[in-house]
Amino acid sequence: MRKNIGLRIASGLFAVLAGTALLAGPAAAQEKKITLLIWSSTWNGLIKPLAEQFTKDTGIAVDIEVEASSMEGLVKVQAMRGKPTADVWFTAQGVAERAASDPGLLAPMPVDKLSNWKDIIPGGTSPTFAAAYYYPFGIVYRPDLVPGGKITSWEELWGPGFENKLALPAPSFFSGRMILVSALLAGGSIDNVDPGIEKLKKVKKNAAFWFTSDPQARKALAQGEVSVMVTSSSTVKTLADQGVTVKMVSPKPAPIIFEGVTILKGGKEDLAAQFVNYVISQQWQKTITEVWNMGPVNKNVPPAGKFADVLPKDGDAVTFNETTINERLAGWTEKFNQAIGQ
Amino acid sequence: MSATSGATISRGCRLEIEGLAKNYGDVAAISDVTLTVPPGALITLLGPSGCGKTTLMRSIAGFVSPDRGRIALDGRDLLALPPERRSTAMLFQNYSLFPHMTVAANVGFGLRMHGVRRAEAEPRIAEALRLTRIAELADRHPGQLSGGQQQRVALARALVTRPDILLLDEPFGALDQSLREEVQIELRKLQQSLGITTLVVTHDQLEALTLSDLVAVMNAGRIEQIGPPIEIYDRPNTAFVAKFMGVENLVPVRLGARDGDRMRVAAGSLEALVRLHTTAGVVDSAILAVRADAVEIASPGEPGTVAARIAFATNRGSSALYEVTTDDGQNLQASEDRRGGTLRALGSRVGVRLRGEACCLVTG
Amino acid sequence: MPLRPYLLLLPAIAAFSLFAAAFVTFMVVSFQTATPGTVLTHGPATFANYSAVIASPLARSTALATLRLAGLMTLLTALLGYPLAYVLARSTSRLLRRLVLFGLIVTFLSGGVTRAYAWLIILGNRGLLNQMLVALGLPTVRLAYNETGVVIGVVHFLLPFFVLTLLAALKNIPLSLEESARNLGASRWRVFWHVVLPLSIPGLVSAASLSFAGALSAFLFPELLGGGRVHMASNVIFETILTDFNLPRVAAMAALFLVLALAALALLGSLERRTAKLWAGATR
Repeated sequence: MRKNIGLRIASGLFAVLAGTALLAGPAAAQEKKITLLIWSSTWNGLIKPLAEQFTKDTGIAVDIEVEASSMEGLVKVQAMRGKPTADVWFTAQGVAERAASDPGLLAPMPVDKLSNWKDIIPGGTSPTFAAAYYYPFGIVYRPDLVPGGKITSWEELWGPGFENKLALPAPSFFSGRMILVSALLAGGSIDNVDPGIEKLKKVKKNAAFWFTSDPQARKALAQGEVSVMVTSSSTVKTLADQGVTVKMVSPKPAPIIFEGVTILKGGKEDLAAQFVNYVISQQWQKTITEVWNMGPVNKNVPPAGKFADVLPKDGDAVTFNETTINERLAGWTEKFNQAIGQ
Repeated sequence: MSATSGATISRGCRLEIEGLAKNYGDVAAISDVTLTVPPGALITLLGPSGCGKTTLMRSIAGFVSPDRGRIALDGRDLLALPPERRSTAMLFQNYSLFPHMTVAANVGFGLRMHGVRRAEAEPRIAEALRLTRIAELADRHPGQLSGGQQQRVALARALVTRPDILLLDEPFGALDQSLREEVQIELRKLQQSLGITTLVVTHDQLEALTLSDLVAVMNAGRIEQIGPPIEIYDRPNTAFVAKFMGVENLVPVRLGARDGDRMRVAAGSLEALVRLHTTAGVVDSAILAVRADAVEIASPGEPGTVAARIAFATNRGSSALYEVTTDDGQNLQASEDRRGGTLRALGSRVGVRLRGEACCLVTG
Repeated sequence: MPLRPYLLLLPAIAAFSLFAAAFVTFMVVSFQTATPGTVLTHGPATFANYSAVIASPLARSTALATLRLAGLMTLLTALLGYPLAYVLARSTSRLLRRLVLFGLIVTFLSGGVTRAYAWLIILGNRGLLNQMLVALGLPTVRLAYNETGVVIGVVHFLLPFFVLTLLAALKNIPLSLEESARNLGASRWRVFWHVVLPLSIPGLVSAASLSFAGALSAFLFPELLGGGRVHMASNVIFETILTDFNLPRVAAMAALFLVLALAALALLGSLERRTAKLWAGATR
């Protein structure tokens, strides 16, 4: 989700080519070593120091293979089916669901062997997936540029004062969450998003653009080209690091998005399980929320102070069935494009 | 091309050029050119490439803006006008026919640009095609024509607008030698019958002599000599003109006694009494222009001759061309009528003398 | 037969085979059926993907929008590019020629993403142009994040291709033809209209074909400057991959767009050949 446009293009191309020409990977190494298929930003910014500690504790070396996007990761995983060169795959929950529909790819989570499994918060697990963190999908805005300096609800975005000032995600971004939020606001649901698309028509005038590139939208927000960007909480930290003061609010309904790990079928499931158990451990989750500014999935770890500010209030959060989204997203996109396109 | 009718007759215009100069950077393409062409005359600018003759022609057409000077047709100043309003018709070396138009459309182009109505234009086009004897080619495209035919189209296209002056840039350069003379004569007849003032650029002296009322020999941006072709041929003023006119021997001479309009000159043991055409420029140094046929070959020891021997001999049809070397080391080319005989033998002893009345003094 | 030349060709053949194989694979996939939830496909061969795409209003509206936008972009490129090419071919001012060429080469060499962002800085809601309008007390205009922005970005991208292609054609028209026409009484404008323009038509058509092909395959500028509102073929193909993940369907869509693009280009190509032939019957 946080990948730039170039990588998205590359992964799209790769999906077409590699998805069909199955590339055989080299045989897995025999020593005690696991390989992660992971986004480079996640590895460098978060997991690398934790993995060193993991190796020290368990004697299991950690190697990596880079995926440019979740989709490219899926293509790679399918291409190396049976003889994977990676053992643990970092991906978005929705993509993991897609992969799970192919029984040859993912190993079931060995729940008995994962001492920390029981501590994962609701919605963060599936039979083949363990969340590593979560983030809310909400409204990131420039307090200096919005009327009253404050936004408290989704409905405000439809109102005056935001004309040509909103950066909203295109349907392919965040797997259609913008359509779903709009649907819930308009009395629809995941089973009936038409009211949501009707409602989005009414925000056309306020929408400066529908973004398919995170950095582009962030740049526009930083430059004041727009005053609002509807996106995930990681944007807050990225912009703060660049010295841009933004605030985030996750009003009701606030979709929660999980990203995490899966274990690939390939003979090293046991070693991989040990790694997964570390990911969801209290200690790692504490680092994840404090360093990475993401939501911790271990119920014994409180969200870091800065992160707690952007979290939805109790009862405001919503989650969606990823499988349903996967099935219907293309149809929603088509409807959306016809309603919103010029 | 001989028959004319009222439709295409041009009035002849007087061309006057005064003090014209054009520099490209530090290089003078033409400097201080002055000439006058009487109405209906044909003048040839003759000279080697780079002498400025093309620049001069393009200045008249308007494609070159001179730095100084004046160009006028019948007293009307041309330089202030853009090319399309000068009423000059230029024939380009490569003919420059419009490849996307038929012959008739090419010929009619100028009339169209001048806003001549169709009803008037069509007979004029037909007349121009008839004059240049290409009526049957009217519907062809230029790509389907021979070089000679293309030239006729270009000529018809130029004449049909009834220009004040016709400008021809190396008009026969692309034609076969055999065709060239025929077309030259045809063009000359047409030009005379139409009475159109014409300026031709060429580097071919024979062409200049064949066509012209006036020849201007150009060298390094200047007019070296201007006059009727016979005068230029017989009495070149400078060594450059003499050489360009095909004079074989340019002999540096000492000036001797003057006798009326004649002067005695000598080069080594060779002497001649020559007619002075001008007194200017022949005071200090002088060169004697001697055509090969002005070198007479006689028997050795004949009075008035200088002893020499035949150094080289070659046949030139009815005449023979020799290279003779005098005993004091002077080399001369001499031609002699063979009178049906064989060539003189190499190395044979002869006497030579110059026919003074056929020689002329030129400046260096 | 000597083997050596073929050995030397081997790398080229290998590279070409790789491209061809990728293309063939892609065509094969378009006739298969997606295994739900996966990127895997299976037989038997079917036209279902093609009929689904043809029946889909999205594909039809995309095809129309793509052809319309590509046509508009090509037209604008030609209108802007022709004078530039003419200046390059004919201007006697070396400075002017260098300036134009420099501008085009800079465009050529700067990356697409860089240029897209540069256009955003100029055309954005708070971009240079709108700031100027505000300073003059005028209302702002929406130039970016819509078709206008995409058209501007793509036309700028296409200009060097168009100009350099046309330039070669213009340089082949002898200057003496233009002089000849002026000598016969045509003003500069009429020389252009009656001589230069007709003679440049084959070159113009090939430059326009190149631009049209470039515009048809535009991806980056619609993606970055279109604000999610401009759906050209490449963007819709890409978006469909991301949302549908039905590779056979997407492959069929891409194949149909390709056929459409090739048909449009073939049309232009025949036009080019026809004019070229007409003129060639004329020139030696």
